[in-house]
Amino acid sequence: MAVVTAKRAARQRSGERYFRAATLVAALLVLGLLGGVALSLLHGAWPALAHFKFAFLTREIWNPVTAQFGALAPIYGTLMTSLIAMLVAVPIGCGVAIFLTELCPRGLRRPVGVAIELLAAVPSIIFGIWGLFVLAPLLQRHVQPWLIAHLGPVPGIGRLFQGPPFGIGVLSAGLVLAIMVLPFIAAVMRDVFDTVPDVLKESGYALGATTWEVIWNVVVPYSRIGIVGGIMLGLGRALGETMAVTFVIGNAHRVSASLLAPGTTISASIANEFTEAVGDLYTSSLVALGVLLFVITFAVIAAARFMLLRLDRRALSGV
Amino acid sequence: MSTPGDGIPVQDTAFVSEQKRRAAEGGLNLKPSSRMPAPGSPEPRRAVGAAPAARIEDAVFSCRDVSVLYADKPGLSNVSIDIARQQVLAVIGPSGCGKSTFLRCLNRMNDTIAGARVTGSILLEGRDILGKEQDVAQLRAQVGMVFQKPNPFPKSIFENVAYGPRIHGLARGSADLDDIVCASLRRAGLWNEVKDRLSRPGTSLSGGQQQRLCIARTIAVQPEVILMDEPCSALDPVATARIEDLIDELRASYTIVIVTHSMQQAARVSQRTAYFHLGELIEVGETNRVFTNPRQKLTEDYISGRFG
Ligand SMILES: Nc1ncnc2c1ncn2[C@@H]1O[C@H](COP(=O)(O)OP(=O)(O)OP(=O)(O)O)[C@@H](O)[C@H]1O
Ligand SMILES: [Mg+2]
Repeated sequence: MAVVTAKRAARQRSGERYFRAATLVAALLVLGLLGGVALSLLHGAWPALAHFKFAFLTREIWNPVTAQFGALAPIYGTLMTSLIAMLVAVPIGCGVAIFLTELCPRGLRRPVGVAIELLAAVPSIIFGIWGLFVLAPLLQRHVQPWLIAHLGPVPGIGRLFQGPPFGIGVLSAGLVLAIMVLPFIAAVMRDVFDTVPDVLKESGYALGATTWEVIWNVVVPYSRIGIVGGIMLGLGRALGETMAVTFVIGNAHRVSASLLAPGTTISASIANEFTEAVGDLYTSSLVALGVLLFVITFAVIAAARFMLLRLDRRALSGV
Repeated sequence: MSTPGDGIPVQDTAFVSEQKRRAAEGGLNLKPSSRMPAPGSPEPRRAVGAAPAARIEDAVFSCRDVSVLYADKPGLSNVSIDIARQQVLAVIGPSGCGKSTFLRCLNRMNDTIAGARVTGSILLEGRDILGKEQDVAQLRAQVGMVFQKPNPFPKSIFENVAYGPRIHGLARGSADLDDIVCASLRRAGLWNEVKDRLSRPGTSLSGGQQQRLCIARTIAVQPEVILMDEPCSALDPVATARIEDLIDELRASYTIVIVTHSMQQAARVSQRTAYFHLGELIEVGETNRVFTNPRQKLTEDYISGRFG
């Protein structure tokens, strides 16, 4: 009997070993792939980076005919559309999350939560088509003329709202992005708000605080790191989004003061131009754009992970 | 919900005569037989309105026939009790008997639980607090609560105590707020330990200190009543002793209701004790009397450690 058991244990041990090795290989494979992608990106980008040096980051010009390339317009477009998306999506996403965790009747919580998760799963090309055929004309006809008429003359921010209403442009791209990341941010925030212990909220109520005071003074401070993490994750998505943006941004390599003017983003430029890029420097410049996007999103996601990690640790230490 | 083995449900003759008076006035339609059940008779133990309650003159709280349903599951049944001014009432009973539920009725904390329904009447200083007109925030400022687990807000020590006065606008200016915080921390016996680190997070304190911080936070709002739900169950004996001393001091200015699982603690800190069982109030009276000479078999079984 004892012999059989020992044999069995030995077999289990070796099975364990194989399993471990297999998972280790899988993990290493992913790491290797990531390294490979980074290396081949750098390799592909090298001619352009070596040729234009630092000026690649600061020049607006993008001229395939004279082979002059600068990344300023795509960088600006990427950051600007993401900023608009965040400005719109974060407050609304927070509101949705607060409604779901604090105010929503129990029975409605799950259906609304599931609906939001489904919304987050809609393919981005759908948003692109919708943005081009529905949102852009709507903005062009009704919203942008109003912005131009009322905000355009305002000193300072007025410059953001001048020029003809194209419909497509940086603002439209930002709004489409906002709609895309909104469900994602709402879902993450809801999970973050759910980590606030009930007893903490109850002690707020027990002091005579209103629901609003409890949310603002207890829930938000307690989950502030998670909120930042959720925002960063949403930002990471917005920065890298390609399809929807390509449809509605207008794809012009220009840095315009006006948000209504067409522009471009890093990923939109790459998607648009890669197939028609002739000449080593052109291709290499597009790859260099890819490197930039890689660096920006990597930094954002890393910051988000770091903050969420700190939240986890705090939750574990039972604050 | 029937409870075996009890004889006379009504302890205080004063209450009985009060019941008679109210019945005579037509306020209660008690059948004569349910008013004065013969000892040992197979009466249904609790007839309408005849829950055991000790009438107290000048009570802070008077609860009559308070019942709580959690989504149709009873959490508390027909509890009638008076809570005396500037005394400590200990609430004891086996786990799940409705102690917390009862406590949370007194500051309407059950409102925050979806599906919880409270019926009956609870008068605080003669004013019905269960009505729709009652401003819940104001009620909770008047009836503070300390929870089982110390749970300071994710804010500094100072801000933890200042929070209540801030939201209720109790302080005129920041110097006044400083005074309130200082006085509250002193009353909670925490001032000497934290006066040099008021800006540190409240969570940086030890468990016992955190609980005293929570008490300071509660008294900073200048409540009339303080409810405590097993405030010492997460603390070591030394920290527990400090809180018990504190409760004894606070009694001079506040009415305190404390839920506890420790019979010794109930005996040490309280003047009156209420024993709950399966959502019903079985017995309430002078702590000494309840512990030395319980009138109900259930109470006797519980305090002699036969169950619970
Ligand atoms: N939020 C709730 N939802 C549903 N039922 C509840 C809820 N809170 C309490 N109950 C039920 O009400 C009854 C009384 O609970 P309560 O928490 O008042 O007991 P307790 O005497 O405080 O127990 P303990 O000593 O364990 O704290 C229990 O049967 C419990 O299951
Ligand atoms: Mg309890």
